[in-house]
Formats: sequence, structure tokens, C-alpha cells
Amino acid sequence: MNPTLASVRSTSRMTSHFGALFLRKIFPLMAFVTVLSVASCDSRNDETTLQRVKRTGTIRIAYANEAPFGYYDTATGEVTGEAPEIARVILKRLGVTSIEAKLVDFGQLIPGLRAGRYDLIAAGMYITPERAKTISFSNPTYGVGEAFLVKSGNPKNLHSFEDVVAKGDAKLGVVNGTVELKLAEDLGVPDSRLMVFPDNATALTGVKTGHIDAFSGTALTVLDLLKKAGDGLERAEPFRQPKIDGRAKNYGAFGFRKDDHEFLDAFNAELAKFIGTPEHIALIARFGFTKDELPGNVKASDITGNQ
Amino acid sequence: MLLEVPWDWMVARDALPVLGRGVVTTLLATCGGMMIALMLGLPLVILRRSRLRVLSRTISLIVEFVRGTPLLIQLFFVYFLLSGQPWASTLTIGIVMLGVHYACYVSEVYRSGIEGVSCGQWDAAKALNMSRARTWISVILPQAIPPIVPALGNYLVAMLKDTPLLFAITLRELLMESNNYASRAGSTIEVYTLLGLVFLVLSLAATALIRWTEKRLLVRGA
Amino acid sequence: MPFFDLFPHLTQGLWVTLKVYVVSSLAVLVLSTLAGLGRVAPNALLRGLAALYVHVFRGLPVLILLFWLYYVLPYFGIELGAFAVGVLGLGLNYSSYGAEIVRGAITSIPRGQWEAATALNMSRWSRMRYVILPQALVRMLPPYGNLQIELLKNTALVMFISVEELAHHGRVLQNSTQRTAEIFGISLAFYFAIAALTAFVVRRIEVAASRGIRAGGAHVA
Repeated sequence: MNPTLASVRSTSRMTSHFGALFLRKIFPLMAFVTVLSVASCDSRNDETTLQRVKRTGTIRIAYANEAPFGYYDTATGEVTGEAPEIARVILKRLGVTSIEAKLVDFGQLIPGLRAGRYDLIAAGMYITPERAKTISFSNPTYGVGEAFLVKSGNPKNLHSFEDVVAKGDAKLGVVNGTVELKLAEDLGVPDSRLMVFPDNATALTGVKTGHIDAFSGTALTVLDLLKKAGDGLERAEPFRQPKIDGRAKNYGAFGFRKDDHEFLDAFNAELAKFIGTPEHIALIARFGFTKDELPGNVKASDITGNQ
Repeated sequence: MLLEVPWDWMVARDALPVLGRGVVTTLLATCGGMMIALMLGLPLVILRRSRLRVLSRTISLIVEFVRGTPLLIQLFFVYFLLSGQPWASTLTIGIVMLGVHYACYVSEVYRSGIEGVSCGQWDAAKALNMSRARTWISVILPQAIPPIVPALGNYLVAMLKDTPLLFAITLRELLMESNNYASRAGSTIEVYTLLGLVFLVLSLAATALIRWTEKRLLVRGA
Repeated sequence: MPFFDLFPHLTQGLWVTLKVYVVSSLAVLVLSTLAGLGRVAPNALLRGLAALYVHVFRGLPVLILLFWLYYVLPYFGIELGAFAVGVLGLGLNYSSYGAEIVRGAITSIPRGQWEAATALNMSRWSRMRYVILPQALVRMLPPYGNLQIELLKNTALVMFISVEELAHHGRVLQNSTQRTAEIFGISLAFYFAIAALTAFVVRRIEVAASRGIRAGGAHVA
């Protein structure tokens, strides 16, 4: 093709309709809309978290979708569970009127808190000395032991993590990201006999089909699964609790940024007035928690060794 | 209060072995996935060119569907259906799903390569009384594959960059290891920045490798 | 039918997905055009910057970029909301591919067109604006349509930065009901429908935009 003046002019005239429309109208409009929609940037200032929460009456909390601790209820379209429900009560007393809940992958809970993506972890997260190096914990709201879910009669006779390690053909199931996974690894259950499931329901299927001989979860999780679909299954009794830093129970609490001690103190003060009251026990009963799971007089600092 | 960037060299240094562990799984998933994609892409394109209309239409529809839907949802679908099956480890599911997803892209590349072989080659093979299978193996494919190596290479890089999705099905590749580390260290800045650099280096290296292969093929072809 | 009780949740997610898709498409369009024009700019510095932009964002997986923007950027004093991070991350990543489409289309216009426009005493900007871009736009459309579909597929990744779109709702439903095949089957069908619609729209624009070119071509012949 050897373009002549005439052809250039004719091509440009004929195509200019779409081209000109795009360049003159559509493109600037799109640029404008894009800038507008991306520029929803909120700025920070020198207010403390508690001051901001009190001034605005709103707070952002994070949970990790783990029933019964903190999960999204598809029936109501709201976040619920032990931790978010207690958070609602305490935060209301601190003057919060609106809670924005964010579903976060369990592994992102701490990094997201520290990056300022939300102000509180309400996921029933266990207090551990390792985690306490990077975030602060409120005092615990519950304490819970471990349990095994097995087939009726416990055919492999498994009563502790040590039993699983000792019996060369016993397979243990855990849910990804949980304390049980870490426990099983730390106590020496080999990878080849440790199956990691995405959630409780699939792990339950694993026990029923015999792909695993025991499922390890908190006593609450195991009771909940037995209640929902317990035919042919039982909780392994007796059960020897793995010792976690010398304690037989794990304690769950709320997570705060390290520099939010003012907020943490205010929260702890309200929490102390609430934990153990009949109102508290009634609130958590819906999630399967009983008086056995009350934290007693254990404080966060007892576990972390801080303060 | 966050304006001072809290980069900690110690945290960064401790992240390196963690990233090293993740790289192995990431590369394993990429290589395994690519192998499946290359092998599965071929029957897909051959079936798609089948003279049986029902068959070719069905294959077309499947290919279009896989290409038109997110890999993430495909992963969820298969992972939740299969989890609990003792043979279905997350690595197996991850490799197979990457392979199947990319086989649909690779089959299109194969198709362009095959259509690039002139019709005369088919006629000549027929004149020589070659069987259909023989024609494919010794006439068409040897001519169709070399020109498409660069395009296949681009999909290798694309697949490498899709491996982080496998963290969603609990595979302990680079992203999952980094998440776990960030959670333990309580700091994201070091490990996520290093993670970005690792992927940048990997994909630039893969691209360079493809260019090199391309050049060598051109030399041999000349 | 128990099947239909999933729809309210999933359609709620579908709207958010559509919102992310449309806004990030716009971001991709704007950024691709800027970076693509930068790639063919007469200024060497501008060209270098555009090349750096393309190589960096094309080499990074979208998901890693999203995590970085969401969890690390706040340490630099820039805290964008989850939706904004999603749009920005998808926009930066896909515009690096888009820029190459723009560049490819511009450089594929025969030199004669530039020369003829110069002979007509058009300024550099008018040459680009009246002669080159209108023709390049038509050539960009088919690859651009494919890019749109890739973008759509990866909008699902914003679920990991707490944007409550379709994949997020699917995952939540999976957690509470375990009806895997139904939940993700419906989700896949939703995405496929949007992809098909995208392909259809791009095809229509292609036909409309190439009308002039075809007429022009016929005239030259």
C-alpha cells in the first residue's frame, strides 16, 4: 500500500468519528472517574485509637471465619460468634455505635492489625508468648482444652498426641492454620500421617470415611461436630491434654496494637465487669460455651509473662 | 505515627530461609503444571479439530469455559470436593488444576502452530499413503511446534505468576510461607517486599531463558 | 428448591464483582494508554520510565501486588481502602500488558502514514491524534478484549484483601453449608456469563470502529 495524500485524508476522516469521540470525550471522562474512585483515601492524624473510636463511634474489627469463635452467619448476613458478640457488648459500653467487621485470612490477622487495617482482632485468638511479642492481648474471655474426635469405640485406642506418634499407622487430621496443627507438628506427628483439612466439616468427613483415625480440635469444636453429625463417632475419653507452656488449656482473647494501651486498658476494665456474669454466660451459650470454658482468674500477663 | 518506615534488617534476614523453602514448592508447582499443560493441550487441539462435530463442539465449549472463569474459583471447586481423599494432596490438586487451566491456553497456541503448517503438507502425506496418526507425528507436529515456543514460554511465566493462588488451597508455596512468617514476625514490610523481588527476579529470569531458547531455535531453523 | 437459597448471597457478591471489574477496567484503560504512549514517546527518559513501569508490573503476580499495597503501603503513610487497593493493584498489573498492546498497535501503523501526515504539515500531536491513534485503536481491540477477560478472572483475588465480592461470598457459604458443587458451580457460571458479555461488547465495538478503516482501505485499493 502506497498511501497518497488523498488516502491519508480519507482514512482519517472516516475513522475520526470513533477515534475523536474516544479521545475527546470517553478517555477524559474515564480518567476522571478512575481518579475519583481511587482517591477514597483516608488520612491519619495524631489521635489515639481510643480517641478516634470515641469521636467517630465506629470501629473496624477483624475475624477469621471460624465457628464458634468468630464467623459470618449466612442466615443474618452479620458477623457473629463468641468474640464478635462479646466485642459488641464491651464496645457499646465504650461508646461505639457502629462496627465494621472484616473477614481476614487467619494468618493475616496480626499483620493487618499492625498495618492499621482495623483496630481489634475479634477471632477468639489464643494468647501465646510468641504472638504477644507483636501485639497486645486483652485478658482472656475463655479457656478451652483439646479433644480428639474418633469412630465409636476408638478402634485405634488414641488418647493423646503421643499415642498418635507411637502408633505407626494412626493418621491424624487437623484444620489448616490452627493451634492443633502446630501442636501436632511440635509433638512429632510425621507429615505423612498428618492430614491438613480446609475446615471442620471436611475433617469430619475424613473421620467418617476412615481416611483419618482421629480429628484433633478444641473440645468446643469436637462437641459442636458431635452435635451436628455425630452418628458413629465419639470424643476420645479419657484424653491426656498436651501441655502448652505448662498449662492444660488455651486461652482466647482480643488482639490490640502494641501502642494502643489506653484502648486496651479501657477495654479490659469493661471486660472485667462482664466476664462471668449471667449475661455473659447466656450470650456465649448459643455458641456451645459453658461455665467450664470460663477463664477463671487467668490474666493475659500470666500466659505471656509480660507486664 | 506510621510515617517512619519500620524496616528491620534482622527480620528481613530471617525471612530468607522461609522464602527459600517456599521457592522450591512454587517452582515444583510451576514445572509440574506446565508439563501437564503441554501434554494435555495436544489431545485437546486434536480432538477440537476432529471431524466429529459433537466432539469438537464439546471440547471447544470446555476450553472456552475454563478460559472464561477464574482459576481461583476452579481451585475452590475441586479442592473442597476432593479434600479428604487421601490421594488428593494440595500439591497434586494445585499442579493438576494449573495444568488443566493452562492446557486450554496452550491448546490455542498449538492450534495456531498447526494451522501455520501449509495444507500441501497434509496432501503430500496423503499422497504418500501415510496414516492419520503417522501424518500428525512425523509431518505436522515437527513443523508446528518450533515457531510457537515463544508463545508457550509466555504461558510458563504466566503460570509462575498464578502459583500464589495455590495458597488459597493451603499449599505451602512462597505466599503461604510469607504469610506465616509475617504473622509470626508481626511485620509485613520486609517479607512482602522480598517476596515481590523474588517473583520479579524469577519472572525476568524465565523471560530471559525464553528469549535465549527462541534465538537458538531461530539459528537452528536458518 | 434448595438450590435458589444461595442466590441472594451470591448476587450480592456479583454486584461487588461487577463494580470492581468496571472501575478497574477504566483504570487499566487510562494507565495502559499513558504507559503505551510513554513507550513510543520521543523523550528517552519518558520511554525509559514507561519501560520500567511495564517490566516491573508485568513481572509481579497480581496477588503479591495486592498484598503489598494492602499490608505494606500503610507503613509509608498511604492508606487506601480495600476497594481502592483492589482497583489500583489490578489497574497497575493489567495496564502493563495493555501498554504493550497500545505500543504494538501504534508501531504497526505503516511508516508511510507518519510520513504522509508530516508532509501535510501536521504537528506531532495532530499526527498521533488524527492519523495514527484512530487506526491503532482498531488494531488494539481484539487483544484488548482478551485482556479484559483476564482482568475479570483476577478480580476474584480481591477477596483476599477483604473486598466482599463473589468469590468471598462463595467461600463464606462453603464454610457454612459445604454445598461445594452448587456454590462454586453458580459462581463459575456468573463469571462465564460476564466474560461472554464482555466478548460480545468488544466484538460490537470492533465492528463499529473498523467500519471507517475498511471503507478507507477499499478506497486506497
